[in-house]
Amino acid sequence: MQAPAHSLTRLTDYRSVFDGLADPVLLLDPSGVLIEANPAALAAAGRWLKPSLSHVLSESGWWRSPEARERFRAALELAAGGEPSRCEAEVQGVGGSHLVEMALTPILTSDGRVNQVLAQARDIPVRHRGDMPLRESEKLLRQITETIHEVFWMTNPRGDKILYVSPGYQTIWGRSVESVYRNPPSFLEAVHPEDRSRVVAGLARQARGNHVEEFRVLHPDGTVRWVRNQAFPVRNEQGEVYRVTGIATDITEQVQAREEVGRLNRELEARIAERTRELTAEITERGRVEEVLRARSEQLLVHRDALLELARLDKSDFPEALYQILKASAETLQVERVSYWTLAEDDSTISCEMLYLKSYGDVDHASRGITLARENYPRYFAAMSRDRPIVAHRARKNAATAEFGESYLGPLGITSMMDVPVWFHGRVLGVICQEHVGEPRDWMPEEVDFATSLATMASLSLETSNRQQLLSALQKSEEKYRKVVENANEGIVVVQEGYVRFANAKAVEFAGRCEEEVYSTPFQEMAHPEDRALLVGNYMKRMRGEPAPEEYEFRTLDPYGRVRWLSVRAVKTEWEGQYGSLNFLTDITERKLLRDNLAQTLAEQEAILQTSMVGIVFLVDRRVHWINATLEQQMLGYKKGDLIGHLSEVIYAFSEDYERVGRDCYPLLAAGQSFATELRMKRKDGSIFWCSSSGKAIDPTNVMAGSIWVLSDITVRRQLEEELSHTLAQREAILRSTLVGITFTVHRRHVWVNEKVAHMLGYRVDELIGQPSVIHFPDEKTWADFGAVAYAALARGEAYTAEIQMKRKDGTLIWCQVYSEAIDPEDLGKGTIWTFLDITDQKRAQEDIRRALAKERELSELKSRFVSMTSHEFRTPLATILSSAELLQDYGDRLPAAEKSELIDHVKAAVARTTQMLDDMLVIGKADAGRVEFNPEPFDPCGFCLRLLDEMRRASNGSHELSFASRGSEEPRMLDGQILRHVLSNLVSNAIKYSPRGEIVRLELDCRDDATVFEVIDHGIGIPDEDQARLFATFTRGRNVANISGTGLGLAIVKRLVDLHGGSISVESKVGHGSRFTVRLPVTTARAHG
Amino acid sequence: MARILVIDDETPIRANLSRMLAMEGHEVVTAEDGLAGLDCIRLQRPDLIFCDLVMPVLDGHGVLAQLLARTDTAAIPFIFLSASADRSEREEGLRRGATDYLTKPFNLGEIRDAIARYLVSPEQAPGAPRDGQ
Repeated sequence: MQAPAHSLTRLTDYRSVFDGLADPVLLLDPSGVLIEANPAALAAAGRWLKPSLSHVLSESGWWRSPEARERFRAALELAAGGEPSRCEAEVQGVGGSHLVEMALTPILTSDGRVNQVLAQARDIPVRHRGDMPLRESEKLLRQITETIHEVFWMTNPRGDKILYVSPGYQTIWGRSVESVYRNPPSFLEAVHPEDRSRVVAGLARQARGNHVEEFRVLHPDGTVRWVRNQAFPVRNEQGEVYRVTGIATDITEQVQAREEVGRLNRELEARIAERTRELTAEITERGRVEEVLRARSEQLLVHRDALLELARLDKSDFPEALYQILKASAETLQVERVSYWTLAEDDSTISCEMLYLKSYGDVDHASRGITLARENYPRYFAAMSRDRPIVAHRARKNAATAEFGESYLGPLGITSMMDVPVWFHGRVLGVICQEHVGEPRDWMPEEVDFATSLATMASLSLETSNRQQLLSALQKSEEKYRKVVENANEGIVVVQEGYVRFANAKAVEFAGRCEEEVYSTPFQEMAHPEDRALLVGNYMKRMRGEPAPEEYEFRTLDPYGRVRWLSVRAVKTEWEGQYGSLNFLTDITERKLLRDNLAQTLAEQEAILQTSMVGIVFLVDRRVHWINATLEQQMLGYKKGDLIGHLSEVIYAFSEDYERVGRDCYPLLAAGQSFATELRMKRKDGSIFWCSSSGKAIDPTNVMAGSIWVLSDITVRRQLEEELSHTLAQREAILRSTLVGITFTVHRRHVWVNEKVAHMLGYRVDELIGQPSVIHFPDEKTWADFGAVAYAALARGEAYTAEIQMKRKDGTLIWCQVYSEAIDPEDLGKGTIWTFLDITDQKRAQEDIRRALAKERELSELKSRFVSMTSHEFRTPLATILSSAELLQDYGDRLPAAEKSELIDHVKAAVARTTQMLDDMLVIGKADAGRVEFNPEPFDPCGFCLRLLDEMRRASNGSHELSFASRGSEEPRMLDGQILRHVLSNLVSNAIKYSPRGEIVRLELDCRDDATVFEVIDHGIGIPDEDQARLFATFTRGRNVANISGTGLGLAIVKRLVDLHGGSISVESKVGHGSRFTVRLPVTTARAHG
Repeated sequence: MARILVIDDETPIRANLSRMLAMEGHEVVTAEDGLAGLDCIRLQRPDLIFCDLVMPVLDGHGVLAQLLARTDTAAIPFIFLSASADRSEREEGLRRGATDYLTKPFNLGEIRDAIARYLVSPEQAPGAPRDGQ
């Protein structure tokens, strides 16, 4: 920028011009630190702007949004690179927020470097101050559109140019408003590919009439939102469509609720499992978070708090910052001595800057200035220059610190040290020393981290204090004011004696003449002829000290006939020793044009809001200040304007809701947040409907300025939700009351059980929850074995099913069919779902059937044994009979008499043998049917035994030796002789049959007081152990009988007869050694049976 | 005129068969169990054998197996006399190489028929009738 010909000589003059600029002007250094702000800026921004070292403008709270901040940052970067730039941004201000246009101009030094950046702000859209009603209405509409969540848009009839999109676009489309202005088709690219062709087809219909389309929008982060877009054409006076406006609403929740209900009804079954899985995830997630929280050490929190505290410090005052840092270290790390030592420029010495003593609670001033030389402590100095802390758990042993030894560590009692170098611009400036006194301590990694952070803080503080010094020098320079004035966005003109004495670049531009001409032309001649009188009149009055308008508008006319509207503010000033008029000029040509358009745009915007799908109301002091037609007429049923000025209470269904909202919403509104609720509203006709309502203050700093409320009828959604919650409740009820027992088990512990399983096991639901499943297993081993098998299958991703016995609380056992699946076979810790079915009754029935079948099998086996026995045992005597008869028949005449007689004896013996078998079978049959008679009578067992043995000896032709022995009483006893004969003859003949020829068979009698005991002892083949149990069953014989013939009936008969006598029979036997049969018959005094 | 061996543990059966065969003009040898039967076969070289199936010490199958194992005795006709009428027992006996299988009680006529059918005359080739089974 070239200096004007008539440059000002006194810098103070420039300063006064800078201060007089009406638009906010800021001076920044290229990194964005605010050096100076003119009074207009300070007045407009209030507390948001503070010229100070730490005030980096792009990081201040002045910006209303992160986007605004970003745009400014981008513009600043350009300007800092030497290129003038512009940006639009919303900023905080005393009276609320402003949308400003900011022009950034780089200010160069003589050698072409960017030294400072001049930022000039101007409110947009441009408004005229006198136009208050229009301004207010525009503000209101803008705030409404920005407050509500719907997107309002306006396009040309073909839909390929976007004239306006409200900020809600960002929320619903997930993309910036700027992006769609820049690239209108991008709104279509965001539409879900499946819906896109439908939406494109719909665009053509928008211009023909109202058009509604529902489609999905894909956000860059992958989320999908459902949007209902309603479009309606706007016609001009000729009835032609010249614009299309519309509203897009986010209906994701309604769509989701709608889909959810449909889906639930179809998939109720499947969702049971899913629901349980969700439950698990939630439980495990909660568990994990708690674990992490627990794990987080208290110590780290303390460190963090200390660092946060330090971060808030004003670091521009280095000694103060250092004091706080050393103190924080001593207090937080519990270290007695914490000091900061400065390293000399030539690295030869360190000297103590500050020492904080924890026990003293303050700085020890006496230590300041103590100096240690490198030549005495070479290892320590070497360690310090490495960019890492010196951590000495044992100071006397550590290589770096041992050399302090007796002279330093000893007298001070220092045992452990942790020294962290402070780096600044690539070199070590000093070191922070933590010196621990007392028992040696081990420095924790967290503590080292903390100390390192403190060193970083110290270096930051050094940096800021350095910058502070540089900047205060800069601020003193007045040179900058001249540059500001020269570069100002406003035209600045000083008029003295009817001529322009000074005009900045902007003013020259406004005049439409070259600089020379501006200075040489009487000033009024540059104005439009119609305004010259006004201009001269005001100038004269001001110079004479008479009242003159401080602010007015006039037109300029340049030599080419171009007219320009300017607004001027003028003051009388002293300029280079004389009075003159200082004028600030603003080009309002565009503003004038815009104002005309504004009215039309506003009418259109209002039309959109009026017909929005949602109800919108602007309340001031809870009274209706503005309300759209949708809410007033469609939703509430009033006539236009009925509600204006009324308390909003009239549309609440319940006064409690009105009071609740009033009470709850104001804190939120005042905090700049929106307040949302669902409540019932009342129509004019008294009917009630569900509504969602959300409100936001138009200016959080002044809640009394009013709030915007958006209402939508959610009757349908409410119904869907109720249906949904009903379905969920049903599902819960089904799970609870299902006939199958269900448990959800994690690490074999029940997390959830339904009532059925509790009932099945005899517990209450709350008694089972939290318990390990072992409590309802028969024993721990069964539980462990079952778990090993079941969880192995589950880990393979298989479902596991089994029939097992469970133990009820009362100890009884039931049979259960269990079925299990793992939530995640990869991680059984996520839990398993078990279903239990009580199958005790089925099991019992099965058992009965099994037993009946076994009985059946036994009978059939018995039958086949009987058949085979009869076949063999009857055929042999029959063969004798038949052959004897035939011999008599065929050769009778030739046979001698003795032989004939022998043949007849054969027949008789064979018949007797078959008869005996038939008798035996008859006895068995009778015994089984309980029809054998029992007739005890006084009886001499001893005599009986002797007679029986005598008979047996004869029958066996002396093949074996038969002996007898007797003990005890010789009195007669009540015994059934017939039964006894049958029993003993059977046992003795068996003993003979299964003993080798010539062996002894003994019969022993013991007549005790309580019983008569008979024992038959042989030294025969014996009976295998495994056959002894079934020895007395019908048709069973020992497996070692080989080909010794027999029916298997004898012992069966013996057993039945002994039973009949009320006695018992037992056997002891060993294969190859012989057998001992013992029969005990009780002593009876009376007849036992009839 | 032939030498016939009767092996049976039932005394009346042995007595009746011996008597009947003697009346028919045959020389009769008897044994009361399988082991004794094998001794008789080795020492007496019978022309035909009637043998009980179920006997102590060594049963009829055991005797038959020993008989067939020796080339000098394998050709002797061997007829089971069994108290088991079970069809499967009969088939088992024939499968193992018995010449015939008679069931107790038997007619003397069956005994005579068997002798007439199986007794090998010196001029006949040994083993021929057995192939016809």
